[in-house]
Amino acid sequence: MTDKYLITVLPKNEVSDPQGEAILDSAHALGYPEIRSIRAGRSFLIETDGDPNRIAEISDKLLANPIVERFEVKAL
Amino acid sequence: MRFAVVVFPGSNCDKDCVRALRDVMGQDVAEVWHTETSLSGFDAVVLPGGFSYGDYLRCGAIARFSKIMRAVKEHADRGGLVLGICNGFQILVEAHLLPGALIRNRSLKFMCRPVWLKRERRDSLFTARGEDFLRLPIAHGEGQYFIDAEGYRKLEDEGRIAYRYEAPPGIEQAENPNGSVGRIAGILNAKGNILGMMPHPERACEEFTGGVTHGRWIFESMIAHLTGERAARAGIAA
Repeated sequence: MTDKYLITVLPKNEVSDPQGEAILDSAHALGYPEIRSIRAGRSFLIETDGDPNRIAEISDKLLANPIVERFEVKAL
Repeated sequence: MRFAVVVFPGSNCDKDCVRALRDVMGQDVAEVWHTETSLSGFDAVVLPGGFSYGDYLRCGAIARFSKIMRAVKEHADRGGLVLGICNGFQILVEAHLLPGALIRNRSLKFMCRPVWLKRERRDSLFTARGEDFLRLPIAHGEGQYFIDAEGYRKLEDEGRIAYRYEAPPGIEQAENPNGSVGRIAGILNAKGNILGMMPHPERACEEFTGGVTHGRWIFESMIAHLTGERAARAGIAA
């Protein structure tokens, strides 16, 4: 059976995220001063016929760089 | 000496590296496609700048898994020299041959300009020749070097910071072009035979590309080391 997973990759808290900051500035300029922070990342939608543990493995190995990013795997 | 310049799909400084090494430095140079599996017979390997695999996913993240990278690791394990320039540096950190990561410039801008660097190590295989301040071009969007506090201390304690962005006294320069931790522009591995750097020495080897030829110092250092090594081996054999 084919399973679907959504993998979200975000910069770690201690790593600067100039992209997120630029988007935050833009949100403020557009009249959303209440938004306190934006972190920009990437997401991946994966369909697999294999072992779900291997999704975390490939996320750690390829999709995210664990030195600067963290990831979350969500089964859909 | 025999140099390999590795070519990935999307490399765009490979020809510049070949020209600098062959035409300026007079070395024997071969371009090696990323699907090759061996680097035996080469004294030094250069991973050039560019946008390998279109910079998809993260810069260097896909090139890291190409066949040639296993050979690059074996070459480094044998003590061979590896120089990663710009995208080549990004590939080396993604491959964990060097610590840390290279992320988007603090300014979000692609920086393309000459910068001053200060040599922090005078005795490394890559930095022994030349002077303490070098003017080399940078051209990158993802050159902000990141490493955690513990990793940074280790780099400092072990003398593995090769270059920092810093101008000679009396010359003004924006303090940190990309936001790198410790203004790091280039680092060495623990064994000292791998150098990764964001600035481009191959673009500063001939007068007509900007008037300074400080890039030659890095290649001269590598060649001097390799020549000395070969002479020592010949001495032992004799």
